Order: sequence, then C-alpha cells, then structure tokens
Amino acid sequence: MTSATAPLLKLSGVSKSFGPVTAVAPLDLDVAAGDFCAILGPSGCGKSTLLRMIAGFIEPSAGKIAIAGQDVTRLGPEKRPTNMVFQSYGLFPHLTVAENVAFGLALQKRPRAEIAERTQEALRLVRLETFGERSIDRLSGGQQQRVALARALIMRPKVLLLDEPLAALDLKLRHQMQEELRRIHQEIGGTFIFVTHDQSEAFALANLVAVMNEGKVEQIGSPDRIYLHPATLFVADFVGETTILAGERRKGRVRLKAGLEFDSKGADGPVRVVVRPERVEVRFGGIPAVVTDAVFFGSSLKVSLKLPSGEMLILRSSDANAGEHFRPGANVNVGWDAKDQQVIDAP
Amino acid sequence: MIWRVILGLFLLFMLGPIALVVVFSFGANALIGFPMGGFTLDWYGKLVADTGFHSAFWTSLSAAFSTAILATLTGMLAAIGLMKVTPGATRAVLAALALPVLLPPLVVAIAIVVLFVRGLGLGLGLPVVVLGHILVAQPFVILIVMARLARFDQATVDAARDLGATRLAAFRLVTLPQIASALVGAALVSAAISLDDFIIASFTIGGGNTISTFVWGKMRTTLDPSINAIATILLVLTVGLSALALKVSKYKGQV
Ligand SMILES: Nc1ncnc2c1ncn2[C@@H]1O[C@H](COP(=O)(O)OP(=O)(O)OP(=O)(O)O)[C@@H](O)[C@H]1O
Ligand SMILES: [Mg+2]
Repeated sequence: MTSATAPLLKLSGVSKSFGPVTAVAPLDLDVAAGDFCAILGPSGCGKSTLLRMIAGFIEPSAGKIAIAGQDVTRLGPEKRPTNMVFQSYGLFPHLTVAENVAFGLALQKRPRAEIAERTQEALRLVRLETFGERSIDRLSGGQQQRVALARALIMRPKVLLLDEPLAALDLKLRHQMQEELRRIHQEIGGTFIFVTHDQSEAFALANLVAVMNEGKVEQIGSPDRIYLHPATLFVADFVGETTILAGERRKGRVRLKAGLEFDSKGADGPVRVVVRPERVEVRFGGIPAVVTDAVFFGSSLKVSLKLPSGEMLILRSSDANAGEHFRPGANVNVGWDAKDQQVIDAP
Repeated sequence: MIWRVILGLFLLFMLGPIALVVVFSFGANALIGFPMGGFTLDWYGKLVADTGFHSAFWTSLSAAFSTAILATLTGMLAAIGLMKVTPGATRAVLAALALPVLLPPLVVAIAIVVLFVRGLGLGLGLPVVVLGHILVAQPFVILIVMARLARFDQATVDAARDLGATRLAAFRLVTLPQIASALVGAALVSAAISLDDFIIASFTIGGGNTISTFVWGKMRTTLDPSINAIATILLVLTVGLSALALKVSKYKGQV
C-alpha cells in the first residue's frame, strides 16, 4: 500500500543519452494521482524521449521510474500500467474503429460481452458512439485523435501519456479537443501527462507544468507559479509575453539600468528582472517612459514603451479607454508591485 | 499516323511470335506452319496422357511453390532487418543481393552447381533447383516488402506493444496484416520467376525435368504442336501469376 501523499509516478535521476547526445539530463519528477501534468518545451528538447521512457519504449541510461510504488524501470511497455496516445495516432489501418478501441482488451482475452460494453463506453466518452463500424481511413483528423484517445482510455491506465496529441489539428479543432480533454480528465479522474510545445495549451489544461530546455528540466510547478515566478530566464522568455530588464545587485540592493532600485537578497553581481506585461501600470512617480507603439487586440491593448535605459517594456491594459493615454510619442510614468516581479541572477 | 504504324509494327514484332505459338497449339495439322488445319485440343490431350510431362509439370509446380514460400519468408526477414540499419548499409546489402539478378543466369547456374553440388555435396535435383530460384527471386521479394515497409507506420507497432502485445503478438496482429498483400504479391512474383527459369533448372535438375527442360528435350526429338501447348500453359501460368501479383499489391496499395 502506498500512502495517500506518495506520488503516483516518481522519476528519480532519470536520464537518457544517445551516444554523445544527451537527450534528457538527470531529472526528478513527481506526479500525484489526478494530476494533469504538461511537459512543455521547444522542439528537440527531449520531451518525447522523456515520455517514451515513462511508457517503456526507451530504457533510461540512468535513474529509476516508479509507478504506484512499483519500480518499472526495466519493464517493457506491455507490462506497464501506462497507455499512450501517439502524435501520429498509430491507429491500426486494417481494423475498424471499434476493433481498434477493443485491441487491448481483446489481447487480455476478456469476455466478449465485457469488451463490447467497455468499447461502447469508451466510444461514448470521446463522442464517437455511432462510428464503431467505420474504417480508420474514413475518419477526419479530429475523429482519429478521439479513437486514439479511446483506445488508450479503455485500458484504464494508471497514467495516460499523450505526445503532442493536438499538434496535427487546426486551431479551432485544437481548442475543441482541449475542452474535451479537460472534460474527460474530470469525468474519469485519471492522471494525465502530456507533451506540448504550446505554452497556452499547457496552461489551459495542466495543473502541473514541467518546462524543459535542451534536455534539462528548468522548472516544475503550477502554471501561475511558472508564469509569475519563472525560475530561469529561459522559462521567463519561453512562457508568455515578458519584459526582461537588466540590473546589478550590491549588498542586497538591486539597481536597474532603467532607474529603479529595491531590496533583494542574494549574491552580488548582474541580475535580470522579469515583469509580466499585464502587471505593469501607469503610476505616479514611476519610471518615465515614452510610448513607441500601441496595438489594440480587442480584449486588451498592448503598449510598447521605451525606458530611459533604452530597454523596451511591454504593458498590457484591458482598460477600455487605455488607448487615449497611450498615443505613440506620449510620455508616461510606469511601475509595478514588487511582488509581481521576479529577480533572476544573470548567467 | 506514322507513329501509329510504327507502334503497330512494333507490337506485331514483339507479340506476333507469341500469338502464333498459342494459335498453333490449337491447330489440327501436325506440322507447325500454315495451313494449320481445323481447331483441336488434341495436343493438350496428348500432354495429359504423357507421363514425362506429368512429372515435369509437378516438379515445376513444386519448385515454384517452394520458391514462393521460402523466398518470401527469407526475403521478408531480410527486408525487416534492412529497415533497421543505416541507409548506407541498406544500399550496400541490396546491391550485393541484386548481383544474382544482374549476372548472366549461366554464371549463376554454374556458381550454384560449384557451391552446392561440388562444394557441399548436395545431389542434383529439386532442392538445388529451388535454392537457385530463391537466389534469383529473393531480391525482388526484398524490394517489394521494403517498399511496403517504407510507408509503414511504426507507431502502430508501438501502440500494439503499449496495449499489452508482446513483440511477437504485435508482429502477428499489426505488422503482418498490414504487409500481407505485399507478401502475397512477392510470393506470386517468386513463383513466376521459378516457372520462367530454364538455365538454372537445366544445370541443377539432374535426372528429372521441369517444364522448361522437358520442352528443351522434346524440341530436339519431336516438332509437333504439343510443344506449343506446353508453351501456352507456361504462358498462362506466368502471366497469370504476374498479373495477379500486380493486382494484389496494387489494390491494397491504394487503400
Ligand atoms: N533514437 C535516437 N538516436 C539519437 N538521437 C535521438 C534519438 N531520439 C532522439 N534523439 C535526439 O534527442 C533529442 C531529443 O529528442 P526528442 O524527440 O525527445 O525531442 P522533442 O522534445 O520530443 O522534440 P519535438 O518537439 O520536435 O518532438 C534530439 O536532439 C534528438 O535528435
Ligand atoms: Mg517529440
């Protein structure tokens, strides 16, 4: 028995090298039961390699993988309580939709009636209950995606793995499928881990995000923590719109090139301050800035400001009359709360 | 217009002799030539009664069948293996395997006799014929199966494994059904190649006969249209097999 607080999936020091290439540097990751975890990172950063190690397709070069307290590091994919939705779906073209979905249960030689019932249930979950007899090549991309999802979900995996499941879909369908995934996750209360390079998708779905770069996990945390308190400059830059300002720390006090000064503990040396655009506001006595550009996005206005240091600062305002203050060339004073900034030691 | 005439002459030149062979096999006249007399099936009847032809026919069929099965099986394994190595290695192996196809069949036949009969001490006969035919047919099998595997989605195998299939089960339930049509096509082509061959068979068959060595022997003693009847049977078999192979692999290819 594992205690309620023990993570369902635990990676300890897991890494993978292909010859001289380090695809995944040693990392630790804990995922609790019920979590919807996103592995977020740019192309080629090792996301798929990490996911395939969890699924059992790639054996880690070092480290340990445990699921529900059981060490599965050396088990093949067929022996793990995980199931995967592949980026290219990997549907069986010689079988019908229902036969695809039933494949795993048929392998287990379950009774016919049970297979039929659970297949129907899985198809209902992905809203394809009338498509059972269709052949795979007569489905749209979104429908194929759902079949792949149903085929994995019918196995009731302890952990469902999804490798860029929505990457091949167009924008509208992608948003629709994001909703579906959220609904399904809530409905069955499973544990999902999905890989994506789209930060808005990661934030829309996940309650736990691991940001990867060049094989290393840069930060693991809740979406709002990662958004407001990025641990590294890479995370700050990769996740959402941001302004990064240069400065210097001396004896616990940071002085920004742009003119601002505040207390901040840490070693002396160059630092960077990260500020999210929607936390910046017009403020009496703030940093003097000149508006260089203002773009209206419907729900908000994006304003580019030039600071005395020559650095650019982005401000986002959802105030309906904001456009009047921010005519290009106008002088404004801007500032933000100290709690909304993140100070990162510069490399 | 001029091109049509040229094309017509060309077709006549290419297909005329073959058409004549078929036509004469139904002619009543014992001498091959015009006039050929009335329509008759006598020459086929004569073959049916000829025990020498019987044994040649069955030898050819056994050779074709064994070649089809063995060349397809080994060729499939080779193709699957070749998909897992680097493209450079694949090219080198394919070039080496294609050699028996490019070399004059006479050289291949001599090589087979030297290796299997003189070298390894196998007796002349059907098994050595089959070995020779496999040598020639297998490169075609490999190419056909590799072409199919090239557009095969590896994720389907991964998915099967992920759903609980062992390697073997995944191969049987997912890989095999997807490449089955290519395998059938490859087997039919192998059978056609085996039926077609004369040189390798004549060097390695020893005391017996395949259809083609039987015809060769008969040509030197008799010159009646029963030879045409044999040729027609061979023609129908090989063209039929090839056409079937094309149809099988093409049909599935478009799905
Ligand atoms: N079998 C392999 N042999 C050698 N190198 C590999 C292998 N698989 C992956 N790599 C390398 O490991 C790194 C990470 O690859 P991976 O597929 O995990 O990236 P990814 O984050 O999933 O990228 P993408 O978003 O493009 O799918 C890449 O540099 C890749 O070239
Ligand atoms: Mg990937």
